[in-house]
Amino acid sequence: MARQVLIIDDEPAIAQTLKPVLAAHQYDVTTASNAAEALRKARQCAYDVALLDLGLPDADGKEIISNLHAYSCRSVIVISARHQEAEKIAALDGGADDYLNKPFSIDELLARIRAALRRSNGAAGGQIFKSRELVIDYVQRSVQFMGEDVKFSPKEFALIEAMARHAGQVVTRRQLLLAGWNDPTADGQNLRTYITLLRQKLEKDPSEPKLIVTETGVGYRLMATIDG
Amino acid sequence: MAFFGFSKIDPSHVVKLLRRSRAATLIVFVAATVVSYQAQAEHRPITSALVYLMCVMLIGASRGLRSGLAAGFAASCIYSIFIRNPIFEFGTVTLDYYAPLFGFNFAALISGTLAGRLTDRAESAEAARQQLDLLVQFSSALQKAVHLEDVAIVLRSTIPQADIRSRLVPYVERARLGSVQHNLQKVIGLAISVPGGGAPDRRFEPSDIDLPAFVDLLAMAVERCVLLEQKAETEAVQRSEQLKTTILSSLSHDLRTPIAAISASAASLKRFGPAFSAEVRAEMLQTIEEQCTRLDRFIAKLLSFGRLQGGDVAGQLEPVDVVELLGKAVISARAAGPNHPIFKDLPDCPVIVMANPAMLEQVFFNILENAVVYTQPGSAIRIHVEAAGEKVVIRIRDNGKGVGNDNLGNIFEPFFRSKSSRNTNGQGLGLFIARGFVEAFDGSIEASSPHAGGPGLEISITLPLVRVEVEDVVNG
Repeated sequence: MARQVLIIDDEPAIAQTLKPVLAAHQYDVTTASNAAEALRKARQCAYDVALLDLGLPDADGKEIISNLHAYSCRSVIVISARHQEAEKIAALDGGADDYLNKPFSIDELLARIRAALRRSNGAAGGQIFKSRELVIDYVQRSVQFMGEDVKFSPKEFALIEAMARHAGQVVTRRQLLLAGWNDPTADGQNLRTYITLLRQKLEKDPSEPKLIVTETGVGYRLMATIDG
Repeated sequence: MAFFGFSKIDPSHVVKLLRRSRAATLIVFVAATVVSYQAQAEHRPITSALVYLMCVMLIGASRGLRSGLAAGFAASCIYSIFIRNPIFEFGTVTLDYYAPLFGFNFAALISGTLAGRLTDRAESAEAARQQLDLLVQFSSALQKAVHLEDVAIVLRSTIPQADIRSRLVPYVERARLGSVQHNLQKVIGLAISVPGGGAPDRRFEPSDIDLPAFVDLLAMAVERCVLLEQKAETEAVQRSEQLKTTILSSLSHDLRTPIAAISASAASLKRFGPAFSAEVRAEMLQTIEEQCTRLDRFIAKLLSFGRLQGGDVAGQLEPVDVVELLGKAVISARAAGPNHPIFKDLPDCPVIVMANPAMLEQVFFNILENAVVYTQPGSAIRIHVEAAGEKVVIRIRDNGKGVGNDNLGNIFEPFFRSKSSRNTNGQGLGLFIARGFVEAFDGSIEASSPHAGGPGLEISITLPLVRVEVEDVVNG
């Protein structure tokens, strides 16, 4: 069965462009041009992913995220301008699963949708995470990078686990502090130090990370390549 | 013989001594009496009379008319009763008897009057000199005043506040000074209202102030300040107008160019798409994508520029890792200029400063983008980060033509582009934004030529480091 995608954007050109592209990738696309229409459609039919533009004419996009979740949308990806970090964090704290900077490339969009689907399908909840470069056994608490065992301290493991369970999606600093220190107000400096350690273990060039990518002002994203 | 000694004494010294001391005056008078008595006793009546006469004139000249007359009267009595005639021997009263009375008192009158006049003249000359002095001082202090507040400070430090209140205020209120009056009153109000601290160095009697001249000087200074302020305002308006024009022309150019390319490519594809080879089609699509990126970056810069112009720059600052943000900017710069090798010399631990992360990333990207855009493909870019003591220095060096020593100071100005870079794709905003943001983070940014006037350009950013406690990662 084709996946259902709901595009909520008041700019018709965006929906017009995205519809054929997503259809070509076997998604069923529905569009809504304002918050009221989006909520009505979300109530009528279940959607796997909602693409939500934060600047809607009749409501602040952030305010309808929880409603979308409650009605039927399994994942909400927020679309926002690049410089609005505070908006993004507020949306993520308000229940959004991921975000996409405007303007975005189609590849980026498809990757975000795939990551959201993977997570909402429960694929992330299993015992083992497997990507091309990384194998993580959540029960054994072991990590293999490029086929070789890598030793991880308990905190390092907690952090890589939090990111792997959201592979391809942004994980906010707050979420990582919760995962590593059980305290969202813990000192962010320690988190930075641990991210540096993780990069030294997993990146070819830790100063230009390709796997554990920084989302400036928001958090981190594990860019693991997952087949299928 | 006894008087030879006196000839060596400067009479003006004696006059000054007597002017200052009553005791000395008394001593002189008593001495003269003794000498006069002695001379009379030795049957030298003329000497006796002259000594007394000199004494009276001296006292009159030095201590003024009143003391002179008192001395004259006392001298005539003493001379008539004790010196010329034997004691208590009343002879016939002749005209000769009154001669000392008239002579001594007349001498006292003349010398006293003359001396009094001279003293008055000297005193009034001294007062005039002091007034002039005050005015000159006031005038030269006013020369330096640029704002009305400066004038008020000069005024307050010249005249005691009480005098300003009691004399200057009523005078200025009465005076008709035309357009200056309002500002003059404002200045006086400022001088009165500013509390304490500014007591004048020298105390002047209220009579020392030549009010009309004083107010004239004040009015001139006030007028000059008002004109200067008007001039500055006009210049500021002109500059801002000029900036607006530059922004608009840059905007329309920098927005239109990519739009023209996009629109041409899209229209060509629409009309002749099937006729083009696959390569040409791919090239055109590539152009559209690239120009969109360029537009997006330009808009990001405009937003930052607006932020800087609006004065709302940094907002809430947070601890950020310089190395991490630099790495991100490098990744973007490699995408913008794939043909430039970028070499990095970075510490392998986080380097923490207080900043807005997105803005600091933009600072790094803008500098790297310039290095990519304004240099030949293949030329290397070097990044060096050194954290030492209280600060971190980030150096980004390119190997391009450089901008020449004359332009090093200008490259942070908005819309500045060096002669050699006029034809490239920059807008001249990147480094202006970089400077604005870095300064908002309490840092500084500088440009230099690594090879003294030769090729290449080095931009160095200095930011204050944040000291942080890091938990023991080994046991974490």
